[in-house]
Amino acid sequence: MIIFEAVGAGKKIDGVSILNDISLRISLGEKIAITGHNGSGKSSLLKLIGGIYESSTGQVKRAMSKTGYVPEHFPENIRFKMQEYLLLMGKMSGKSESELMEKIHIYAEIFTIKEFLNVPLKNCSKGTKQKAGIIQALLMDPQILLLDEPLTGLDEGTQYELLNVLDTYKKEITIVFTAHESLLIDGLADRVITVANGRIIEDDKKEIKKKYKSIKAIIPNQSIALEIPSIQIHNLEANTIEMTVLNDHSDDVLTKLLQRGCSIVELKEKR
Amino acid sequence: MSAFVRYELLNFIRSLKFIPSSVLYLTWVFIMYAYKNVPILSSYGASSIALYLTMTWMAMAMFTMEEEGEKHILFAHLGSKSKYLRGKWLAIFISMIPLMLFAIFFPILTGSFKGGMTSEYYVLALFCHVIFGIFGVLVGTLFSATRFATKKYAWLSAVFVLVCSLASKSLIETAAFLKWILWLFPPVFYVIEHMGNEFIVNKEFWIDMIFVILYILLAAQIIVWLFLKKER
Repeated sequence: MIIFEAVGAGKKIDGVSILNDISLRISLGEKIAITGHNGSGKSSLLKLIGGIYESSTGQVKRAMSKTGYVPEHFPENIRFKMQEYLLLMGKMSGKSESELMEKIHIYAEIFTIKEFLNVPLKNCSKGTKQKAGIIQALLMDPQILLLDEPLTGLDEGTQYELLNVLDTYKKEITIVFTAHESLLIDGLADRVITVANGRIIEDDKKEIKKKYKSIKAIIPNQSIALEIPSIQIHNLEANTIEMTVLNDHSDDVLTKLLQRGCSIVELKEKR
Repeated sequence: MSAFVRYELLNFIRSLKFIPSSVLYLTWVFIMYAYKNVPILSSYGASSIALYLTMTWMAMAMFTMEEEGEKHILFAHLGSKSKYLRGKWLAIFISMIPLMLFAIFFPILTGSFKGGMTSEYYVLALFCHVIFGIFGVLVGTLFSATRFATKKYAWLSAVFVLVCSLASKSLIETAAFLKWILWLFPPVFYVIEHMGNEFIVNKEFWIDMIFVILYILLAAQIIVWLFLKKER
């Protein structure tokens, strides 16, 4: 099912052309990364897809019901406490308070921001605000999720957590994001669009290859598992864990495990 | 929509941006009724003008309260840009209610009027304040939420419109050709003229009121169109 289609679309702001001749089709469930240099038009293309921008020329058709949007920089002057803000945003999308409270607490746990739920957003750090920005979009159960540089301001552990959360939505929703970092592109995208000077210069379906590795290891204590970023961790036995990591990061994780006195039991590729 | 209106009202209250305009408005009303035995309808006419200026100020404050990123998140949650504009207007009108009620009931409670209130006077006072409040919101929206807002002299232009609309009668008396231009400005005199010492309901009154209501409906449509054009 096609949920977005643009034919020769362009966008001008104050007479300046920021997108030119965009022809693009997005199907339901696709995971698309938009890459390009600063000022290339990545964010503008994302806004055009989501309907925040309308095209000045060409044709654009959208067939999606709910659009979640995460801006690159979370607004600085939000005058609400985090939980209050998330509740209000969720209610705008028609969710009930009880359903929202449950979801907010789940996401707060995942993103490790539980202690900030009653803190005014103005007083939160950049990373915490960024997490609130991502949660507000996830709360509405969007059909398409648009993320503008979502890893900006997030620490390494949270970057993996976000990837983990987004990965759980694999087939349910369409995700379009702009990114510079290889973590999201390698870990999530099945299609990569490259933008330069407001034009799409490359649109590649990524070959779905074995992207993950599973590492089984015996660890001296449980805290080690928490120190090493991974997509997923399962405790198999008392001191044996199974970690799922990105292919590209497996050597790094193995080194860290060995340095901490762990013993590797098994290493295999995983889809 | 109710969650968005609540969001806007809380945001506006916490921004404290309502304080300068409200304080000036309340001071205006206090000074007006520092004198006793004042005529009823012309006093309400004067407080309506104060509300007109205040609501322009408040609308401009409310429309400039959010940064672009915040507005885009709200667009996504509301699912439509026109819903955003309607929600903003609703929040502004809710914040207008206490100011309007204060202007209507303060002189009654302090016994400032010469003569007693009648039900006709209540209706006319309410109508006059609501109409002027709407005029104010429309002018404020025009210069803060459309392409006029991005121009350097948005505040100055808004004041120009307010002054021209209030002085339109004298301006037309000075130069008759101005009547072809000044109909573009909010027709405040179509209402004020009926707020004299005596209230007369005649054919002219109804024609003026119909004109005012049609003006508001048309102006609101044009502003919605201009807003959507800016947010394209």
